[in-house]
Amino acid sequence: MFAAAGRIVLGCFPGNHATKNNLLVVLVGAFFSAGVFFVLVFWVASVLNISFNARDENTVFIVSWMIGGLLGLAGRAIPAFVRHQYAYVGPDSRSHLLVMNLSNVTNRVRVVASREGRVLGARLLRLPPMGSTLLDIGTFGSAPDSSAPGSAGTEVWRLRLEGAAWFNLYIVGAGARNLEGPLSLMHVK
Amino acid sequence: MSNSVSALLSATFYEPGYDHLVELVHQRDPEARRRLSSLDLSAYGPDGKLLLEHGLDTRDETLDLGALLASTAREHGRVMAVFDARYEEDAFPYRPHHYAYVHRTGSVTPALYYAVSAALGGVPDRIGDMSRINNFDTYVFRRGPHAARYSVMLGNVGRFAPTEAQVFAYYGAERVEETVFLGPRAHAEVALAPERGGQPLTRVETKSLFRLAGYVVGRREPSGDLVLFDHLFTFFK
Repeated sequence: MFAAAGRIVLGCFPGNHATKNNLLVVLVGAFFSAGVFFVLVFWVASVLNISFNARDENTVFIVSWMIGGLLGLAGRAIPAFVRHQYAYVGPDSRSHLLVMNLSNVTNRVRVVASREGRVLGARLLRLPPMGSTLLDIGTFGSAPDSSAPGSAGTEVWRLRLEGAAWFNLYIVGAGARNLEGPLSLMHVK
Repeated sequence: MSNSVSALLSATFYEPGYDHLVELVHQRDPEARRRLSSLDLSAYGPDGKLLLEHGLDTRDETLDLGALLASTAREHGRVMAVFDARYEEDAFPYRPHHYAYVHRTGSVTPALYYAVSAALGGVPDRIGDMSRINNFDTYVFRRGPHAARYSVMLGNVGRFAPTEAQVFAYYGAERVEETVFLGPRAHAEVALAPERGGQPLTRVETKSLFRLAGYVVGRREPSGDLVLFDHLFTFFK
């Protein structure tokens, strides 16, 4: 929870990583954010008359569900697990993502796509336990037009994925007919 | 570089007519940005002749191989691109590696994403691979016809020493062997029949004195477009 709160605070800084200058702010912010989360969770638990037991699997599930649900309302996910992946978008090819939830709890995975430092958009995926979903990269933006004068070739987009629980990725390659045509599948370590 | 724990030598093959982009650092994050200290690219013809040397900017995230090698490949055919990467030592135990994206321009065949074959370095316990007596790599094909033509692309990344590579193709209980001679930095594509005596190709295996850059390749007919491009897997060292 503390690490997740720290990542959220870090996200407010350019470069999204800790430096000597932002270390104190990140630490204090992480402690404060984690504290606020727990106060909120226990308040909701008391209102709903739910008793918590740290060793109880149901407690973990309920806490995860409550925090994830609250963040989900704001279009965010608990960034306990973060991965970076490139996506390729060309006039006649592209790479989609198959996102797999490797956890036995519902996992919200937030995907932020950017191109040349500019954010194209964000999507919040809600994956059932051990479930998966195909993320169409085209939903973030349009492919470059090969007929346009001076058009470039395949573009490289950066994806940042953050989820509350363990997840994995496969790259789904597509050709000129996109998802209607033949596809390839490649596991990403 | 064979005695450097923070180096990675990997290689791929470029053919003209393909969009081919290589991730210089896979899953680049703020930490990875600090890990790659230098990266050099060199390109070789099938006979091992040096065709191009190019220092890369480590701040770049991906490299468009076509922009760099298309004209060279049109003249010389398939080109082996060798990446000589040096990392800061605190990169370990994280295993650095490159991934790449390849697609035949304009084709309906799907784009392929693959891990670039790492021939040397990357993890400390693989530093000695170049001096082992035998190196075995294998690839198990999926059942059912996937491509019309299969082959193995092999490249000798050694600078001075030639090597012989034995390629074994398995069709049920039958094994077919072919030997390829590779000079320093030379490379070759060894064709594999998709079936033999009614038995489909099930597995391919390579054996060599040095660890080679190797890929198993599948192509469509009649276009020859790549539908399979994947590195072989080491199963015995």
